Amino acid sequence: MKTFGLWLISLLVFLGSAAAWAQDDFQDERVRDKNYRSPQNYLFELKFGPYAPDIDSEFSNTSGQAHPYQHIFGDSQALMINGELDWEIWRPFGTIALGGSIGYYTNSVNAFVDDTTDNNTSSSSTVRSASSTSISLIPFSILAIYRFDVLAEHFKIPLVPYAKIGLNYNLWWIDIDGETANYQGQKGSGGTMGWQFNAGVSLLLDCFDTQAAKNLDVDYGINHTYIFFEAAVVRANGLYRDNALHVGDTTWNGGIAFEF
Amino acid sequence: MKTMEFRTYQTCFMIRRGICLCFIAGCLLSSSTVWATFSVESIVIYKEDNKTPLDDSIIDKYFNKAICDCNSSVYIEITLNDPTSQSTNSYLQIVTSPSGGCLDTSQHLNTDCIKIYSDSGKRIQELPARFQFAVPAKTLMGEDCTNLDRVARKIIVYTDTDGDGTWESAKELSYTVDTTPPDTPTSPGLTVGENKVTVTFKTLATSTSSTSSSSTSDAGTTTTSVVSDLKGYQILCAKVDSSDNESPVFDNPPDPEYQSALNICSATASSDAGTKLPDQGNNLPDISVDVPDIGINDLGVNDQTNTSQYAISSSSSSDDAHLAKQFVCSSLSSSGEISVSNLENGSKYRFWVVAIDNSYNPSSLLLVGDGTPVLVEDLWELYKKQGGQASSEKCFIATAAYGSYNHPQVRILREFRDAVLLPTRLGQWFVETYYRLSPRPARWLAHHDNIRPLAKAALWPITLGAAGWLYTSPMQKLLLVFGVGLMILFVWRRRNRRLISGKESN
Repeated sequence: MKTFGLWLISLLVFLGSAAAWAQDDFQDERVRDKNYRSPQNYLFELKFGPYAPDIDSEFSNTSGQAHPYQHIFGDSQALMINGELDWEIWRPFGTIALGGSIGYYTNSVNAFVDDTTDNNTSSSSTVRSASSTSISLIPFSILAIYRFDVLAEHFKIPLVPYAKIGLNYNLWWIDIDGETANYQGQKGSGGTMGWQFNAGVSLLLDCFDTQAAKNLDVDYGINHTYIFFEAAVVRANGLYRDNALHVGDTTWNGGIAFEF
Repeated sequence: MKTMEFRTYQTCFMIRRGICLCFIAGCLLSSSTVWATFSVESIVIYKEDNKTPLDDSIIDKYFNKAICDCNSSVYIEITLNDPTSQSTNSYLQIVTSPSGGCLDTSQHLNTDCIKIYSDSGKRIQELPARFQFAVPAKTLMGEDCTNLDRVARKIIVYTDTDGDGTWESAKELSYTVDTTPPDTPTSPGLTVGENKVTVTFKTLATSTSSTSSSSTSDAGTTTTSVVSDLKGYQILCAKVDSSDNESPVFDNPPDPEYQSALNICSATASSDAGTKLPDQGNNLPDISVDVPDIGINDLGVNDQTNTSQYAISSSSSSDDAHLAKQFVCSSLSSSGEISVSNLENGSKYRFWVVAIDNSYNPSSLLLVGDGTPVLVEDLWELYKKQGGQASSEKCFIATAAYGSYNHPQVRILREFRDAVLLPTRLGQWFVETYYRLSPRPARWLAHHDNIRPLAKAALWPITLGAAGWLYTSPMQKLLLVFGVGLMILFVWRRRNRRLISGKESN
């Protein structure tokens, strides 16, 4: 029994080291092969940017110029975080992809004291109370993307301009002291559809350390790494609906992307 | 002959061996009697309820100002190992002393040591294996137990095994006395909100370095280290009426994290110092608790024991009165900003802040002031008041899934039916078939709320397609159809390429 155990351990050690040796050899070979590239099918982005939902745009055509968002939040902006996954479906000249993204945004501030005596008149008080009011968004989007990566692929110019267009759906909710706001039985939560257009440029980081980029590809299958900056036009006004909360914005984003 | 001689030899040898063994056994037995080890196994302090021992987690926090003020009794239990083995000249004494101990250079007890068991000591031989006695807490804290800041003290069991008046320590139990309250916070502030008030104040600096603090006790001075002694803060509040009378706010207030004489003296009203230990099963006589020779004072129970209907008039308000647990309005917090919620809008409240140290001593109260919660205007309320039209409906569809015939998505489907389907024969057939088959699943869907979101999600692309058809021009329709078709073609072509390359590589 003891002899069998020793044989078994020896065999496992031998096989394990042989496999590691073979793997190392294989990897070495791939690393040495200048033309080696792992398959490239997807791109993942993580991006951040300032955001302020343009709720007040609903009142732009009305007299009196109501500005509920600006009155409560002033000029403050909070951070929108987005993650996006693209499926690169075709590369005739550049890359055409389909993608989906999900994000999160929240902004809170102390509400004003209500100095009115009836429920239909806006307060004129400028005194901030101890109660906190917030607006939060979770945007979902499906996008069609075109990346002009010809310069990077063929001419070693590490710049990749791109453009995206698509539809979005934004879950939103407005809270007061952690509970969903309610005005005369109407809850302050809902969803708004819209469309969006993003355009930007990515900087290919592979050129700064080609060996590291190669190792990333060999070890993890990450073909390319980028940092990017883009302008975003989000028109979340409800599309065909009149009674949607406007939560779009024109803003910018920056982030990091991995192609794999 | 030789065999007999050998057998005789064997027998003699065995007898001699047996005698030797008996002699050795006897020696061992007698030596065990001579070398029998008497020891004090343990010293345990029990709270005034005589049930809860002061273990390592609380023994350094228990002796605080409230215990000093209440002067409740604690119970000390001593467990001995083999006391009957001691000679008649062996004595035992139990004292409380500062951390330095109670013996002079010649091993005699200092005259100013506080003996808590017997003035002249007890013969060890006559003691049971376990015994218990009551001691006023103030005695253990050093009689003058005011303004002691984390002073180390000990209970020491001394033994004099040969009766010559020289003692040595057999067992010690250390504990800490802290009757000094923390400093009072400063810079109070108050902001009102809807059904709430937020109190702000400047928190106390906490020390993590060793500091020396001297305190006067019956045995001289001692030094201690202070390490971050602050536990946190609590808000106290009272409802104030038009006559400025104060009353408790909540029926079930949070528990106070401090101890005040007001809150705990009522729990120590019983001054029963006698108790029986369970039979140890060692044929010892039943033992009763020994009353210490030093005498027991009255516990000094505070008269204000019933606070359930506690109300304070403006003329008699005091810090101690507001420390009643009915006035606690927040849980313990280390932040300098604490909110009190579930208040009535329009009612006036008064607020105080109390700092609490790790020995549960409360500071003097910091009066923050009066505040009246008010209504506030949140973003949604302001948006609606200014004419905002957004509804709280989410973009999912169908009357059965959303329960509303006039829902915008349902309206789109009806428009599509009227404008696109009904004008054609095929469309009419489709609509008739739909109305014939759909009532049953629609009724089922209406009764299953958890399935509705799935139904809404499934109908969403249909509604999107219907809206796209209704609200686009012919050229836009053409572009849309072409674009979608192209996309499908690309995907199909790429899939085919992969299959082909896969076959070739195989």
